[in-house]
Amino acid sequence: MKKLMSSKWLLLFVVALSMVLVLAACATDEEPAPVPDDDDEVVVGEPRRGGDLVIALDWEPDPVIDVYNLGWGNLPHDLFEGLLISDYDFNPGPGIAESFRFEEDGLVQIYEIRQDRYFHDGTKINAEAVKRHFELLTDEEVDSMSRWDFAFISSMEVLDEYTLQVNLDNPFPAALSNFSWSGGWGGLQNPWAWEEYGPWGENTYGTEVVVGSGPFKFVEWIPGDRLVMERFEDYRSTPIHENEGPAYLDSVTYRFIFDSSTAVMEFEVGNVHILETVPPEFVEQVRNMPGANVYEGTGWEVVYVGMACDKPPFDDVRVRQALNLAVNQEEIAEIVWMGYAEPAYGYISPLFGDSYVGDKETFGYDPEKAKELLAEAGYADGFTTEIMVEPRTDWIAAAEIIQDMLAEIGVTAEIRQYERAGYYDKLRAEEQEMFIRAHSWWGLDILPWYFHSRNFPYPNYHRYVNEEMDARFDAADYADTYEELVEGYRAIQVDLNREALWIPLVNTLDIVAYRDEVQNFTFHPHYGIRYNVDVWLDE
Amino acid sequence: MAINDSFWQIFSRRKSAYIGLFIIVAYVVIALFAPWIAPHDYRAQDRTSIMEAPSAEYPLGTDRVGRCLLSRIIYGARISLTVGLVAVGIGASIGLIIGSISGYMGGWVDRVVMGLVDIVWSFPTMLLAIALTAILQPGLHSVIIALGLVTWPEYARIIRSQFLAVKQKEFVEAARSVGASDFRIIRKHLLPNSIAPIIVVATLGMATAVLVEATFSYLGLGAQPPQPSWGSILSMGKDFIYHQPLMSIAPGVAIMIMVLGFNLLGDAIRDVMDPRLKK
Repeated sequence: MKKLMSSKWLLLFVVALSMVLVLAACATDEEPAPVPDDDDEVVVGEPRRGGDLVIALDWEPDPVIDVYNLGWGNLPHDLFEGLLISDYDFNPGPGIAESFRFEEDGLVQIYEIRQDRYFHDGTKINAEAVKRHFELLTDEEVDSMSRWDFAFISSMEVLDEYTLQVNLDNPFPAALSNFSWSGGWGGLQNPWAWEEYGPWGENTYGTEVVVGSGPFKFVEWIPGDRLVMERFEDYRSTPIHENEGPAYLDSVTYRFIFDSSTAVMEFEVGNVHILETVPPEFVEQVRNMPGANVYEGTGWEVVYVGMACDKPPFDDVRVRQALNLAVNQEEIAEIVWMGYAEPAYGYISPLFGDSYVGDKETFGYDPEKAKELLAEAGYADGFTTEIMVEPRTDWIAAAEIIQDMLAEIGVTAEIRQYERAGYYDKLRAEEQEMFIRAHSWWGLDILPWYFHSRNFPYPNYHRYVNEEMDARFDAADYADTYEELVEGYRAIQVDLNREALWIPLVNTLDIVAYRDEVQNFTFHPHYGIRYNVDVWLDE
Repeated sequence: MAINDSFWQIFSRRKSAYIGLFIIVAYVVIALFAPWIAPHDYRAQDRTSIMEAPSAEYPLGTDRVGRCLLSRIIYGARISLTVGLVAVGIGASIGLIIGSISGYMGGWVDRVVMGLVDIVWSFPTMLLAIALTAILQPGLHSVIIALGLVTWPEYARIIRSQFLAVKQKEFVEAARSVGASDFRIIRKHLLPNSIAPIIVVATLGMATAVLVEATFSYLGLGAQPPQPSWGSILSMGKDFIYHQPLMSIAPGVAIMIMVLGFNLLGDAIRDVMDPRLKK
């Protein structure tokens, strides 16, 4: 009996000892070098290295992560850093260039490149690399989607190892803002790596090889599942961040979870730290989860119903106005987005501030006037049309309400759902009539992108061709000052609004959820949550 | 007459047969008289009552755009039954014709047709149907055609194997010896004696068709809004399972009961047809 007792105690002792050892091992494992110092206790609120930040996206980047062939700005800024970086008030500030100055009324721009920056493969970033990068972006053969955004560059000269001169033929006030977009456009990647591994070479660039300049480097991408990146030790940060670099996190994993209920569940059990998009119907549920925080703010997204403006009956401006007046945005925002959206009355988000011009008279709600306009246009008995929609339940619900509202002025609209590829095929085949779409662009160039005739029929799938407007777009883009650019675009919007080229529905709110473990969470109006230099995990 | 007697005798001995028959007849009645049974128009949006709980006005509550859920479920029976009947009708007709030719002619015709059947059968049904809806426009007609085009091989195979067995029988020989034409032999002698298993497969096929239609509409490839397909109601409801669980449960239960009905009925008919169960 006594013997049995002692063996029991021995067993307990061994178990306790092994637990202590395991815990000790864990503790040393989790705290490698320098932040925080090798003290045993972790100070709450102090950044610490380590951890894998998992972010759930409800979309996936296009099949190749390559800024030369895609310019959508959907790419992780963790991978690519811009020549300039926009601060929280949208002002361009130092990025990979530590300073810039203009000469000769802005026709000569001189950028001083930082001397302590490297690409992820160890190549030093210098003026030559930046020059080559923008040469590729504007190359006709590369045919980058960002080509037009840098078409203002007439030539570039390397003044010395770290000084780049950009020459312009005409003033281009949006230059700085274009240089500060790290997604598609300004985001630097190693141009020579692209030449070696891209479509001109081995053709593995963007799927297996990506050589960027941001705080994290590409590890792997499993299509349909995840994109993994790890800390780039040689990263030196920019002034908008508190951390001077490298990043605290060991790695960042973007998981593509298309089904919102699955994403919310993964978030609840802690497999996901950040939900990039919380659908309105889940906001309350997420808010009530222990350890969850919800960020909410006006977003860039405008959801709208497009029309093929050159096809009858949409070629008559009165018909377009009538359709607009038949649709009650307020009701749609309240019902479909459950109040997590503002009714929209323009082509861009009110977040644009001074550059935004709305028009409640054209885009508002007045079914009586709508009927009059329709009768004036010769459609007193209405007409039959088709609304094309991707199979997203919120857009379908919106389509159903719009269908009902249009029926009230005698217009019969049939709803057709097409999955994404089929939807784009329809647009490319120029078979659209009415279609539900959204954009979340934060640059005024979205207007010529959609309505300039050089983009007809795609991406100008609204099929609006107006030479006078083309000239006004070009004049505004090449205005002498930023103020004149804004003035030009304000005047353009006033007239485009009267044209009623689409039916604006809502400006949705950005709703992001993050768990308590995520420290120093910030939401950048341009880069969103995809810029994790200052973030650390406290688990 | 004797055959009919034994059919009803065996059929009536099975309780599940009655349940199956009752369910299907009930659905047919609901579908036929939907406008009189449903409390509201399935399209009518009452946008002041969004996703409301069940009430006297809306017995199952309302959906995301304020439509009466019960009315939509009731009208949904029409879609499911139509798709079931027409799709199975198309599939069975094609299968019947092709299978008859193959089984009766034999030889190289048989080999070619069976080769074709194998090819069609080697496609995953769902994938082929999705490809077809992509070519045709999305809508119920696409689902029906797609279903018809992928299900016929099953019927063709069955009818062929029946023909191979029946055409050896003496009465067929007799018919041939008195100079009956091929067409007459197939129509008068072979088909009536081979049709039984087709009825079983067709009944069970209805259940599959109902499920496939729901799946397609759930994915947005089938019924287009505002058509009240159970699949699309479910698809819309799944995001609101915490707010208005009936939006997912009600169409789910409707689908389940209809599929159960067809399966019970199909099983019962199969048992009746099975000679081993005959006295």
